[in-house]
Amino acid sequence: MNKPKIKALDIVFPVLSLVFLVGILTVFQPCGPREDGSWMSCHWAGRAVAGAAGAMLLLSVLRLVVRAGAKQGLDLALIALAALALALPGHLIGLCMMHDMRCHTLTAPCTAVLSCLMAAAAAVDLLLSLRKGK
Amino acid sequence: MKLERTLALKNLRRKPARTAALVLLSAFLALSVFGGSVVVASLRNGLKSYEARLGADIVAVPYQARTKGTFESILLQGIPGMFYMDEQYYNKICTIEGVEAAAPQFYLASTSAGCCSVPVQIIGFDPEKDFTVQPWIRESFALSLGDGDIIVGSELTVPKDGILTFYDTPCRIVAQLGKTGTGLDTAVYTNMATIKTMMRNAESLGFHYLTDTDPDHAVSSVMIRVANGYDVEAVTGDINVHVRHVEASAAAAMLSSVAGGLKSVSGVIGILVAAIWVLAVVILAIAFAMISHERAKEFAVLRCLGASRRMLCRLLLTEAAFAAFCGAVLGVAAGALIVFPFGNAISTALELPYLMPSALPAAALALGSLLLSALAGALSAAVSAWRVSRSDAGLLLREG
Repeated sequence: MNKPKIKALDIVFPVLSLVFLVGILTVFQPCGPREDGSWMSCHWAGRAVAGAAGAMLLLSVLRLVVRAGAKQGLDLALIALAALALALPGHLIGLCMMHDMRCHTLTAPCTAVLSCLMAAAAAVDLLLSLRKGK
Repeated sequence: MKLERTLALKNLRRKPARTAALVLLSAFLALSVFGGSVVVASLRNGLKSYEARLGADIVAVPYQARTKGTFESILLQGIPGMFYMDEQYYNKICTIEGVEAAAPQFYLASTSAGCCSVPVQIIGFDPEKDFTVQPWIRESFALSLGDGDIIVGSELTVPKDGILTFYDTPCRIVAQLGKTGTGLDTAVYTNMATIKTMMRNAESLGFHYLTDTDPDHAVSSVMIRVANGYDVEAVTGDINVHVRHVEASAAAAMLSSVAGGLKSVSGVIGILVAAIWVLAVVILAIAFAMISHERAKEFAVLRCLGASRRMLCRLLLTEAAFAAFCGAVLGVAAGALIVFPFGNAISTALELPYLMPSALPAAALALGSLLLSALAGALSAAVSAWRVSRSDAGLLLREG
């Protein structure tokens, strides 16, 4: 059996997913707890995004070891996961009330940018592999 | 022309590293031009909005509020502030010659806005005397505010039930204001009766914000309109001389300090964008000069095969235009991914009024950036293209 060939674009996925996962847990994590120690809804939005980013990382690593046909399926799954991550903060799970809070100024934009990049990379890879298949 | 286009595209495809370098350089140029122009446009919009929303000729606040810069912090950064003076100062201001209208406002900061760990600024106004808040409230809410009704700024998320509770006072959200790009976007507006109820409830909850003044006879600021024929500076001076413990400031002076900050930020961004544009043109020109030198023999062969001087010139320009256009599209897209989602973060970092352009002006800016970047690509390749078209093919081939 031939070993799957790793292209430069294949490396982009695990790197982006790792940046996404580490970022949502550290650099662009949502707002901290209230004075009484309770969490605001943006905290749970951040947790859900971290879950989606973790799943993206898993699929991205899996992409490195599977063959072309399976890669196309994983690309589709990555696009769906990126769309889910994009919709989580502010749409599926609410953020803080004031738009100048950290979850609005940092968490949501960083999530949007990384989700868009991930979806764009997966779409490009999918199109290239479909063209190659023809 | 079709042949040049096909050849140019094939040339670009066959040298992916060289093409990628040209595209990246153009992308960086477009990113800086688009990003910089959106930030400068947003700052300009912000200043206009700030000017329009201030709506008074003079603002009078208790002396301690002016020295701490509290009032400007509310307006610019949305940092909640609470400062009070006795109503007698408002009455004294009304008697000053040249004061046509004076509208008191009462400020209160919430302890929690129901979901956030930061306070929200609540601004109470007297609907019968007010002339600064109501004109732009009417843009979103045509009726009069009843007791317990509030209007929220654009940067506050309205809960599904439309109710916000401040100091055990449930308030009904009747409208949400349009975005102004100022600190007032995170404020809540209500009438005097409602805010005084909140104040009394705050007292009963153990928040003693007012120790030496009766809440029912206290105001936080007075917005003043000067009568026609009177000098604003003179009236401001009169208030400062005749009403003790109050600091009056002409709105123009407040605006000029913000405008000064905005001018310096815009200037720095403008210089940076211009420097990047010139630098990118120079680097691209050097790159094209090196590429045309490296491909001199290829061009000489094309000349021997019957290509005219004009055709060679067009070939190089087409290659440059393709690379510059692709780079510009990428750069503008990357710029849009930075400046639009991170608008709130940029606004918070700059601490200046910041109102992003709407869709149409933003599209115009994107188109302008695309054209400017493509122009830079064409300009930088023009000299090389002219040199290639002038070179002697026979001599080049004989030199080996």
